[in-house]
Amino acid sequence: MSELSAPQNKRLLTWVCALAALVLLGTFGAGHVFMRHEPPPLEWGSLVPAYVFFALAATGSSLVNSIFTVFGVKAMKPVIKRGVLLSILLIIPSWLFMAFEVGRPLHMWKMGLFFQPDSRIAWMGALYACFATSLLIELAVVIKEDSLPHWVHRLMGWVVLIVTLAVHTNLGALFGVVNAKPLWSSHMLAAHFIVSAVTSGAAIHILFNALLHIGRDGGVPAGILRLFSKVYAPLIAGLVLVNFVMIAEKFFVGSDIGSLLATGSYALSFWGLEIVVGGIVPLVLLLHPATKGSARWLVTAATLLLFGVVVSKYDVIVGGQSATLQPMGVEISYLPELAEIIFFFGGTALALMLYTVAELLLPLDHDAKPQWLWFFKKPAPIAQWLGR
Amino acid sequence: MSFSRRGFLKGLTAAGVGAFSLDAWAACKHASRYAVLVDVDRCVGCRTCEVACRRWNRLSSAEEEPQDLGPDSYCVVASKGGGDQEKHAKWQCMHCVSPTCADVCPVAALKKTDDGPVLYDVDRCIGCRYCLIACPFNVPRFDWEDRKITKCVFCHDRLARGLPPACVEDCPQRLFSFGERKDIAAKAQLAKEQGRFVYGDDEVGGTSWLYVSSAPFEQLEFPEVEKVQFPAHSGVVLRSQVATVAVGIAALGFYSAAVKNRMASEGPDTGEEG
Repeated sequence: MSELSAPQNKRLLTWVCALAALVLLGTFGAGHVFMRHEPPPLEWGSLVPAYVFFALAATGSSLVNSIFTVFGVKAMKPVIKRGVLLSILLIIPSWLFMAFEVGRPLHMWKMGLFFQPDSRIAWMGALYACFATSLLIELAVVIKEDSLPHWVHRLMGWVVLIVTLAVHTNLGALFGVVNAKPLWSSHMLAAHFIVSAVTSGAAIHILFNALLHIGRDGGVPAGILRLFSKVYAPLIAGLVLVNFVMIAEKFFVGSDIGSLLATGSYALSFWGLEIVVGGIVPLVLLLHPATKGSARWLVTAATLLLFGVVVSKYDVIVGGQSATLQPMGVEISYLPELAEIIFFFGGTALALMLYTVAELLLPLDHDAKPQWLWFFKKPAPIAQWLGR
Repeated sequence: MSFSRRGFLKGLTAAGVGAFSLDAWAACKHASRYAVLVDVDRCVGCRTCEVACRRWNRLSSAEEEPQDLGPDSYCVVASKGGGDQEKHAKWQCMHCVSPTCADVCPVAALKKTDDGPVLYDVDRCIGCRYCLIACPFNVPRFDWEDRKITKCVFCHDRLARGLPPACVEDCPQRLFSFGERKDIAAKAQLAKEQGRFVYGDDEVGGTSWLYVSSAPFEQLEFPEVEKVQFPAHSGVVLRSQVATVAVGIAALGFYSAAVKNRMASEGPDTGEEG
């Protein structure tokens, strides 16, 4: 990263302080969740949708990266380092939320000791470890750029793509195998997850790249803007359309969950937030001649879309449990605890803080050369060997 | 690095065969020796079974008549309908022949024993509560005070000595029949032939607690569950995962090719990596 001016330094300090305050607040929220004694009304509370959102965004971001790393679309080269970094950082809040949502987090190491191959949660732990490791290697590879042979880049691209798809489908199957929840065992859930993942991954790439350039350079460079409008916008627009069709199908099949979302207690968040705010408005912004191609409107569309994806995860996972037929005839109503909401924002702030640190330490710009870390600065022995 | 079409298809076939084999292995690994048949028509709702359960398992329920399953109530008697039509049914863990809770547990904290009970090992549990989510009968509860799963244990210590569960022994109406599962299933079949309704014979592949009633079980608000065992259902999802990976790669490939073509048509040196 180039030298910062005095106003930029001041802005950076304010930004880091605000994030630190949020992280501190989130720690209190996490502590409250960890110490709870009263059973929540649902088996899985609002931290599970939060986990799923970040987990899907991480895999979605990685899938978008593969458009360059596997399929060689050169236009994405300027943003690929940030893309890989974002995939890694998005995993961190998801792990945090999961660790605090489980009732006995200090026993989680037993997942390695008593690994049960039939269980999707067991595989989730194993696959996420592979996912994070392969992404870290890929980050090193993309930062080393031309000092490594082309086949190493391509091989890592394929490894990460296959691991990403395995992680993603396992997460879908974790819900899909649950026959007890009619919405989750629907075949539409798999499609809903993959569409949510790729759209949120693409939206996060847009947000981070655009905001970084606006904050640092005063505007988005023409090359990046072209990338947004040619590669990301059609992808997002197409996938929002697919999502809309799937949601409509949920409504028209006439199931309990369809009624719950369309006319029941989740109708406002479903129609208002998920469909209109998170679907139709971003779609119009991406397709309308007056707004398409504008960085500002693209950022607005990406933000709204992400908001819609968060809401949709809440509707599907919390609503999916609420709609379960209870043998004792109990009607379940649920609202997230304040501590969980604070924890969600604290976890998000932690990921943003780590991103900020990474921006300061790593050479993430297209042609930036490594300056700080030994591993990136000097060719590592293995890189020298591979380069022969 | 090259990937041939033949190699790709071989990989997919191997994964598919693996998934089928896993199904077959998982479907035959459980046994269930003992079972109980509950005659719903004879239950008067006296709740003696609840008391017997609490006494034998040393549970201290503050509520005399608990309304839901929980740490201090491994079974509850639910009443449906009113007046002459009122029906009562004891509700507890069904101890499925192929229990979903045990199959989804990431650390095998829940296990089906040969005698029939599905038992829980607190030392292994990580508290993920996937068993609560996956149970088709909504039975397990998580005790947030002691951080453990609670549910009926089928009085496994009594079964080991050849005794029936405490609730079965203490019922004044003698509405429970206890015995080997094959004999209990035969009794249920006989009731079905006499025009009565049976629940648990083939629900989720069969349970160790079966019910007979002259009224349909939908009227008693028993959960409508699928007839297949969990491993078979899980196998379908597993196979679809393999297909999803292939479709995902193909979709990304098509999209990338479309982007490359579009950008290449707009100007040189922008579409494809060199």
